[in-house]
Amino acid sequence: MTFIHKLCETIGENNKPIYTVMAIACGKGTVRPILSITDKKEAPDARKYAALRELMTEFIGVPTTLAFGLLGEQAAKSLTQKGTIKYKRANAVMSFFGICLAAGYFVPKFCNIFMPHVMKKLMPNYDPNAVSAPMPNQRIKSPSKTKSVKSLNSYPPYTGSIYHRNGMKVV
Amino acid sequence: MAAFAQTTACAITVETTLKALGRPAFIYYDKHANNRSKKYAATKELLYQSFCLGLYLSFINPIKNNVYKFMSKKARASKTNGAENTRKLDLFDAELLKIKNAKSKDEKKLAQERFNKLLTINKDLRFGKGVRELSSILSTVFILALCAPILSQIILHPVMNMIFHDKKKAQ
Repeated sequence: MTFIHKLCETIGENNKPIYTVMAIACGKGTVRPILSITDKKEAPDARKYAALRELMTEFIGVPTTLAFGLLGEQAAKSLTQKGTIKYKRANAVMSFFGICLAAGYFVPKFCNIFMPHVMKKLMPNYDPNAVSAPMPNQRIKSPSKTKSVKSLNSYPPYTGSIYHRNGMKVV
Repeated sequence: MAAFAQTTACAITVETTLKALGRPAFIYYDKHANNRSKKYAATKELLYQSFCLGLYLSFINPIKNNVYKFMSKKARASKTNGAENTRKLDLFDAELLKIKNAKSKDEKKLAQERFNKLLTINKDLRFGKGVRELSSILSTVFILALCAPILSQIILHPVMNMIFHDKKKAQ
C-alpha cells in the first residue's frame, strides 16, 4: 500500500477540516511573504517588514487554529464514547467549531495583541508609522525633469498608513 | 452536520466567511493605529477575503472534478493494486451517480442519507471518498494559497487605489 493510498483511506474514513486549514495556512505562509519581498514598488525595508509580518501572522495563526481544533476534539471525547460512529461525527463537528472560533475571533485577536511587540523585536530600527521614504532610484530623479504637468496634478500613492506599509496589505 | 463538517468545500467556505467578517472587525477596533489607517486596512482585508471567497466558490467545483478525474485515473492504472482501486472507485462513483440522478429533492436527500450511512459501514467506499476529498484539499490549497494572493495583487491594488484616492479627492 503506497503512502497516497493510505492517505486516501484515512481521509475517506474521517476527513477532519483541520487538515485543509493547516495546508492552506502553510501555503499562504510561504507564498504571501515571497510575493511581498519581491514587490518592487515598495522600499526594501517596507518589503522586509511586510514579509516578516505576513510570516508572523501565519506563525500565530497555525498553532492557534491547531490548538482550537484539537481542543474541539478533546471536547468531543468528553461528550461521546470513544470508538463509536457518534464519536467520529462529534469529533469532526467539534473540530470544525474550534477552527471557526479560531478563524473568526482568536487569530485576529492574538495578532492584534502580539504583532506590535513581535515586530518591534524583529525590526527595532524600522518605524511603520513614519512617512515612507522614496525608493533609492526615485531619489536621484529630479521632479522637474521626470514629471509631466498631468502627473503633478494627480495625488501621490497612499503610503502614509501604518497598515499599508507593514503587511496588513493585500498581496 | 458531521457530513457538512467533513466536506472540505463546505468547511472552507464557512471558515473564509468568518475570516472576512472577523479580521476587518478586529483591525477596525485596533487601538494601535490611527483612524484612516484602520479604515484602509479593514477595507483591504474585507475585499481580499471576499475576493478569496468568490474565487473559491467559482472555481472549486471544476478544478476539484478535474483533479479527481486525474487522481482516479492514476489509481486505476497503478501496477500494484490497480484492479482493487478500480473496483473501489467504481463502487464510489456508482453511489454518487445514484444521488446525482435522484429525481426529486426528497429522493436526493434520502439517497444522500443512505450514502452517508454506507460510508460508515462499507469500508470499500472509503478509498473513493478519500480520493475525492484529497482532490478537494489540493484544489483548495491551489486556489486559496497560490492563485488568490497573486490575482489579488493584480485586481485589488487598483481597486484600493481607486477607492482611497477618490476619498482623498472628495476631502
